[in-house]
Amino acid sequence: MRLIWAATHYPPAHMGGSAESIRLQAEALAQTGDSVTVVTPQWDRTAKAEETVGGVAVRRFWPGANCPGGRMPGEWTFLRPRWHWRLLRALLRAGPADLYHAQDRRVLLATWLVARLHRRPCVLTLRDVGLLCPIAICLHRDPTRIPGDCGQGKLWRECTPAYRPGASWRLRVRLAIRYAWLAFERRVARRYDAVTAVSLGLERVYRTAWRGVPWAGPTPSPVSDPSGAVS
Amino acid sequence: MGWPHAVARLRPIGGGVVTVLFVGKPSRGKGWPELCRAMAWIAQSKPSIRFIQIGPAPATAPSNLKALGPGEPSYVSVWMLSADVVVVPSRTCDALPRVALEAQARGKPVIATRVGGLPEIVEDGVTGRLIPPGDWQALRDALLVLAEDPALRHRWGQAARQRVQERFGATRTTAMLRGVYAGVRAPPTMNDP
Repeated sequence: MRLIWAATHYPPAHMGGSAESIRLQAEALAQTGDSVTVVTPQWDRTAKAEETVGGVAVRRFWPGANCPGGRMPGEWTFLRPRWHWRLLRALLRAGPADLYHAQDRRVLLATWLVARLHRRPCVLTLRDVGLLCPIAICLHRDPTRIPGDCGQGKLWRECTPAYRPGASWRLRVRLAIRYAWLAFERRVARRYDAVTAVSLGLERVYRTAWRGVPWAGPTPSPVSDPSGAVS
Repeated sequence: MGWPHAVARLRPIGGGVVTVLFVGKPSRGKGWPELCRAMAWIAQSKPSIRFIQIGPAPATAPSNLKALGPGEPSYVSVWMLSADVVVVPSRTCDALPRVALEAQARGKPVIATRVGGLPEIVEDGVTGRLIPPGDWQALRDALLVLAEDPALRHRWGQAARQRVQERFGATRTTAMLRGVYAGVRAPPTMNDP
């Protein structure tokens, strides 16, 4: 099966839990006979634009922001049209696949568009609660559920002041815009053929606040070889 | 000094010194305030327990903490092998923390909070200890119990290694992902009947 994965982070850029998990899973699939191509941003210009590592073809595209040395790009980067446009172009260039897999929420729009353009199925994996709320401060009080009255108004009135006491209007507006964008992305995510979370615990949190989603059960990432590296 | 030498200097611990490892950003979401309170209490009563933190440097650190700064995976791996206990005291929904997974794969008992995917990794009383989020006293007590009982650490570590290989081995996780792929069908095309 030819698979195209889209991921916001892939090693060596932004060494962290999710990047390492995606690498391990891609390499495990490649070792068992699947053809896996990972389309990911070239956050560090010193990283190769194209390479094959551990049997996985990695295609990097210039995202319009240079973040060398493991510096994480700001969330605002992923709201800009140029981010989605450049990812879309890179996915189209990677060619048609049997299945498209968005490895995190930030790549879900372009991945869905390309999958539908090629009339291929698409899968989304959620790795954090970021698709529900830009701050999700409610989970500090109860880490198992998002309140039923979660919404733009609650974010404006209660959550933002709790998140940052004396929050400026500028911050409130920025968070409100991000919340609105997430609501749009959730609508797109519902159109995926399958949505998975990396753990049952995360899926349960999503289920408390987000209905009508084609959940396909958790898909945890594999553990690395204990004699090897770890993130 | 390169890290292998640093580890070599740390390793001949002897004398009942117990090393506790925390990997991550020292933030509220990662449970850093609780860990700080537990560390401060332990510094007074149990100086034989020392703490290592890998990640962005904290603003303030108790006397029994050594903050090493951010490190690459191989660096973390070596420190993980040298540690006796690994703590993941997250307060928010940590989906599936790699630190807990990898620590257990290396035969280390993990003290973690009951949030997100952590209960799926750590089996309470079998491979580690699950504590309520935000409870620094429970964290302190769990640390003290493990620090005083090397046999328990060894037993939980061995059970952890076996469990994590069974549940999170590449064969099983790949099969789960393939199951998802098999369950989705291509949308109908114009040529389909």
